[in-house]
Parts: sequence; structure tokens; C-alpha cells
Amino acid sequence: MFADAAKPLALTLKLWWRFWPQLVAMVLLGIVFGDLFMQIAARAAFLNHMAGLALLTLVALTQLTVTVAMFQTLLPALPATRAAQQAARSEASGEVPSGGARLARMVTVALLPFFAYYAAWGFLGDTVRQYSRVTLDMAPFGESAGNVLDVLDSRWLVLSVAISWLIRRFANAMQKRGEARSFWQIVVVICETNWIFIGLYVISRWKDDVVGWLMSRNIFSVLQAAADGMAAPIASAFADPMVPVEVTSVDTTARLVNLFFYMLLPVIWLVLAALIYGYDVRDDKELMRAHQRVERLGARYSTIPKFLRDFVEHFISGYRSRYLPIANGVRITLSSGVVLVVTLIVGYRLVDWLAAWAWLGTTRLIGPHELDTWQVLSHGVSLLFGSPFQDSSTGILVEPLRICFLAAILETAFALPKRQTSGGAQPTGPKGAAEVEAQNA
Amino acid sequence: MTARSLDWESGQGERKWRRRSLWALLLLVPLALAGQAYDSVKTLLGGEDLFPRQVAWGQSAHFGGSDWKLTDLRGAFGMSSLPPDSVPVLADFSVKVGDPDLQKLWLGCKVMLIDAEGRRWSPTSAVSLKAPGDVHTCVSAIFSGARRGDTLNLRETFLVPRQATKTIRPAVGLASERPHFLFFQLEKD
Amino acid sequence: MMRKMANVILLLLATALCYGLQVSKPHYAELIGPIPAYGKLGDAVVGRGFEARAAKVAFSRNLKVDRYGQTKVFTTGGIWAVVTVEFAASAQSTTVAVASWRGPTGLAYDQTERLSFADGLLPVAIDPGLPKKARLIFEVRPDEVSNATLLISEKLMSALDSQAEISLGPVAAGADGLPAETVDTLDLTQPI
Repeated sequence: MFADAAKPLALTLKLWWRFWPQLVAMVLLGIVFGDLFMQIAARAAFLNHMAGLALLTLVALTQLTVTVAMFQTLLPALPATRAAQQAARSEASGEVPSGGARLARMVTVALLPFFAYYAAWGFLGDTVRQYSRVTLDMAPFGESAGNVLDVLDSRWLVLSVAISWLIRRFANAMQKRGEARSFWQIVVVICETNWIFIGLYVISRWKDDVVGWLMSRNIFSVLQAAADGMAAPIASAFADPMVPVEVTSVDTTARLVNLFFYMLLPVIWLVLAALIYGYDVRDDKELMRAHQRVERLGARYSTIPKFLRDFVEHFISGYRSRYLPIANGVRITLSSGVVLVVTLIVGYRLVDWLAAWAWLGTTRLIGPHELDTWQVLSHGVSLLFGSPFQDSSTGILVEPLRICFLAAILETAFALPKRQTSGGAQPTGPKGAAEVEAQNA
Repeated sequence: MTARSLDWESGQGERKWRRRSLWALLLLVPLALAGQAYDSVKTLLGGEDLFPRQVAWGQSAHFGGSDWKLTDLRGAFGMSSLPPDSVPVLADFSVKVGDPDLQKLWLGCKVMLIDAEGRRWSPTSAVSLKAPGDVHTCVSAIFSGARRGDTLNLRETFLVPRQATKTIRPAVGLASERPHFLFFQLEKD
Repeated sequence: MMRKMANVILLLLATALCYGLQVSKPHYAELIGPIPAYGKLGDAVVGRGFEARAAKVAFSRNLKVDRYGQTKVFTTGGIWAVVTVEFAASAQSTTVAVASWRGPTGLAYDQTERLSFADGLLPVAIDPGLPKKARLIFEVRPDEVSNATLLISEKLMSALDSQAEISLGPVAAGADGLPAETVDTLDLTQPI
């Protein structure tokens, strides 16, 4: 059992030792370009709020590309994963794109799940907040740049979607004519990112509005009061005694929910990793049936304008190629044994935890300084261990380790002997995995 | 092409990229740090009096749009109700106003005494000595409405331990000139 | 069956471990919080910009204060804790403005604002080479008196700057629950 848990850990260190210069360089590239695009977006926001938001897409896209590229770098050291990938590909068309086109395709495939994850954990909000903070900083004293996010609530949004649809269409056409394919592929990716970025952010905002509207209805509050009354009949029958605020605490349910999501995040990252490695499935009957149902539903929308439909389809009909892998990734993870899942969750969180303590330890090592001095020093510490907000792990000591760990877990899952004996239902062709391993050996 | 030669080739490529990345780190680490810390370094330099500009006794120096001259630095001995072994010190400046936009140029004005060990004293509120009517402090001068060519008399009062009085020298810092500040030499220097 | 049990136990262990990690992971506020300089009552605690030595702690039911020439007595529902502290500046003049009293259960009491006109309270301006005494006055619950910690910093948001953490040690309680050495009235009109 301990050997099972130790295997991915040893592999993590092996991967890290073999690839650290590349990984660190990529993280740094991500930081440099992320900063650059953030500045450009903020400056563009002064000219036009819509343009600023559109350029903000590039910030999120940079982060995604770096993550994808890091996973791709590790691929040569992951024989089982590569074998699974090849098996999946030979079952499908068999076409193997290469180089920049492959990365671009990878980014497109990972785009929606990545952003969905990004939005679900509120990171999209982080990026947007950071953006509005930068624009505020840039505004000359006493002169307001206005709320740069006001466009999110206006119908200019539709215009933006329309424009990026036009550009995407043009890029698609150019790509078909065969001129500079990877360049146009990247243009397509940027346009699609823009939709998703704006779309998800708006949805998450409108969701709040809808909930707020529901909450403001009397019917709902009556229902809720009734529900509350049923749930806690005695507590509400008597007035609560006055409790000093310091004696109250977060209740157990909230704590458990927190813990659940805390433990879920590593699993989601593993799924993203599986997705990036292109572990597609094409013949999962259960999921296909659901897909056809959704497609029939989608047919009714064929009357709406095409660019809006394209936009909507990104969230609905495109899910066959995008969500099926997720479903499958979850299946791999959960079927690969409790020991591995536990190793994943605890290990991932341990990296996190160590990074935070390393941050704290470094501050103690450097010692007290004036705030302005520490503002400068903190950038150095953040570069090593990630931001103290812990909203994104871009520390050059942490992020490579995290990626290596996720890849190592995935590799271990693919290489599990259990999958090779009872893997008839698995579309990855475990036979292929065994063959390649034999070849490598 | 056999799998083995493919592996060998990708191994070559990997080693090449590893070497390239190592070199790139030399460039990328400073670049990333510079990009992130640029604003903070600017704030730090704009908020601290770091680099002294020496001013000889009797000379005046152009600083924050005006000409600054130290006219006097003396102790006010024999005052009661002060901590033992402490001496109030008065620093007098005469400033010929060049650019009259003092509210901008003199923002964050800070007069201090610096001794041989580098310890810094700020003006005190523990001692208040009577001063003639036309004497300002650095901060009150900002709002004096002085015009170009006017001469302002500034006086700041400090409380300094007796043994430090031998080596103290006055200094002036302004937000518009930071990180540089004026460091005046005394007659005896 | 055994295997299932083992898995469940493993999962529970992992959950407990994760809970431990989640709870013990330092948060943003701690990462950029003040850096403590520890000491005991009577020690000179050396921070970056200032040095503090808590000389003595006195407890009383009432405080006698001079207010614009009139003597006034302040009572309290809890107890007055008056700490006499000697401050010194390190390399440059500074102001020590913030102090709080952290009781054994973690309740923190800021300095009282009822006596803001009196002399010798914070904020106190200190100059290098010229130590200065000041009184820190807290209004606390009697059960927060023993094994309390005194927290002193230059300003409220002392991110990654020094904060003196002075542990004040045990205080013997009398029959009425108040500290044994509690006086009826402390005269703050006397010089420190």
C-alpha cells in the first residue's frame, strides 16, 4: 500500500529533476506575458472598456497555454500515458497533428473545462478584479477611469461576441485556404477564448442577479422560513440568547462543505491533466445517448442567428468532444484505486501547504522591514512560492512541482496493472500501453 | 524509423531544450522580477531619503525648485522639564523660492538631524520655543502663499541626546526629489 | 470486506489529514501579518523600529484622572489594567501608536479610548537615544487577566513589520475573582 503511494512521489521527483529548467522557464514566461497582457488590457480600457475586456482574455489564455505546455513537456517521460494516447488516436482518425498546431488544438480542447473550473473557483473573478485594480492604479489622480467593467452589463457585449465571431470565421476561412495554418489556428483559439471568458463571467454575474431576484420574492422567503422552521423547530421557537460574537463559530456543515471542496480541487486538476493529454473517448454508449438527447434539443435553436448559435453551441453542443473526456477522466481517477486518489488529494494539498509555510518561513528569515521595502521583497518571495493571496500558483518552485505531481499520478493510474488485466471496457487499449512499455524496456 | 531511434532523437531534443531553458532562466528571472517589482521599486525610491547630496556650509543648493541654505544650528540649553541628558536643537534655513508651486514640489517635506552613526531625529512636539512671526516650519511654509523670489525663513525644533549633539547634521527631504536628499555640512566641518 | 474496511479507514485518515492541512495552512492575513518579537515582563523586546520594556502591570477598580484641571474618577464593569512601558527608538524617530491586550482565551482588547485626553498614553513619539515611558490602559474582563499577552506595534497595519509580543505571566486571583493585587483607585495624575 505504501509502495503504491510512494511510486507517484518518486516519479514526481524524477520528472522534476529531468525537466525543471524547462518548467521553470515556462512559468516565468507565463508571468512575464501575463503581466504584459494585463498592462496592455488596462491601458486599452482607457480607450475603450470593451477592448480592455477583450484583451483580458489574453491573460487567462496565457495561463492556460503555460499549463498545457508544461504538461506537454513532461510527455516523453510518461510511457503509459503516451501509449494510452496513441491507442485512442488510432481508434479515431489516426491523424497526428504536430508542433504548434498540436498545442493550439490542445488549448482549444482544454479551453472550456479550464475556464469552467476557473470560473467555478472564482479565479475568473480574481483576474477581473486584478484588472480593475490595475486600471484604477493607472488612472491619473482625481480623474476616474469610470467603472471599466460596466460593459459586462451592456448590450455592447453582443457586439463583442459578434465581432470575435466574424474574426473567427475569417480565420477559419484562411486556415482552410492553407495559409499560415498555425497562426490562424491561434487566432481562432483567441476568439473562442474571448467568448468563453466573457460568457462565463457574465453567466456567473447574472446567476447572482437571478438568485437575488428569487430571494427578493416573498413567496421564496415564506418557503425558506418554512423550511428553516422545519429544520430547527426548537431553536426558532425561542429567541436566541445573546452570544458574544467571539464565542460563535462556523458551523460544522459549512466546515464539511469547505473540506469537501478543498479535497475536490486536486481531483479536478487531475481531470484537467487527463484532458490535456488528450485522453478522448468516442464510444462510451451511456454518454453518447445523453449527447444525442441534447443535440435534438439543440436543433430547436437553429432558428436563431448563426453567430449567437455558434456562441451558445460552445456551451451546449460542443460538449461531446469536450465533456466526454472529463467524464472519462473522472472515471479513470476513481477507478484507479483509493490509495492513488488519497495520494493525489493529500499530496496536492501538501504541496500547497508547504508553499504557504515556505512563504511564512521566508518572511521570518528576511525579518521585519518597512512596508515599502517589503512591497519590493514580496515580489521576490511570490516569484518563488506564489502569491500570498494563494489565488494562482505561479511560484517557480511550486508550480513545476505541482504539474510534475499531477502528471506522475496520471502516469501511475495509466500504468496500474489492474487496468491491464481487466481493461476490456477501457477504450485506451491497455494492450498498447503494455507494448510500448515493453518496447521502452 | 524504429522506436529506439525515435527515443534517442527526442532525448537529443530534450537535452537541447534543457540547455536552452537554463540559459533562458538567466534572462527570464530578472525580467519577471523587474516586471513585477517595477512599480514597488518606484514607490520605494519615491518614499525614502536614501542618497545624500552634500551641501557645504554657507552654500545654497537647488532642491525642489527652490534654493536652500542652512543658516544656523544651535542647542537651546538650560530648559527645565525635559528628559535628562537631552538638548533641544534648532535648525534654521533660509529658502529662496524659485518655483512657487510648493504644494506640489514640497509635498512630504521632512527635515531631520542625522548623526555620525546614521541615526535620524524628526522634529519634536515636546519642546515649543517662541519664534518670530515670519518663521515657518517646512510644512506650514507650503501653505504660506510664497511667490517666486520670496525668501522663507524655516525653523525646526528637535530633541536630541546630549552626546549626539557633537556629530548631528541637518538634512532635508522632499517627495519631489526622493530618493535624493540634502545633507548640510556645518561651519566646523 | 477487509479491503473495503481498509479503504474506508484510509479515506477517513486522509480526510482527517486534509482537515489538519486546511486548518494549519497559514492564510493571507498571517503571511503578511506582523512579525512578532517575543519577550517577558521586564525584558527589553527589540523590534525593528522600536524597543519596548513592560516594567509593571497594575490592576484597579477605578482610575483617577486629571481632566482640564478637574479630577475625575473612571469606574469600569470589568477591571482596569495599566501597564507601564519604557519605549526607545532604534535608528530613527518614530511613533508607537497601537497596543492591545490578548487574554488567555484569545480575546483581544484594544487600549481604552475613554481617557484619550490624558497624558502619557499612546501614541507616543520616541527619538533615538531618548527612552520614554508611557502607560497602556486597558479595560478587560477579570478572567482575561492571567497569562495575557501585550501586543505593541508602531501602526495599525504593521504588515511584515515588528510587533512586540510580551507575555505578562500568571496573575494570582483573589477571593472576589479580581487579581489579588487590585487596588481600589489608581492615581494617573502622578507622573509615570
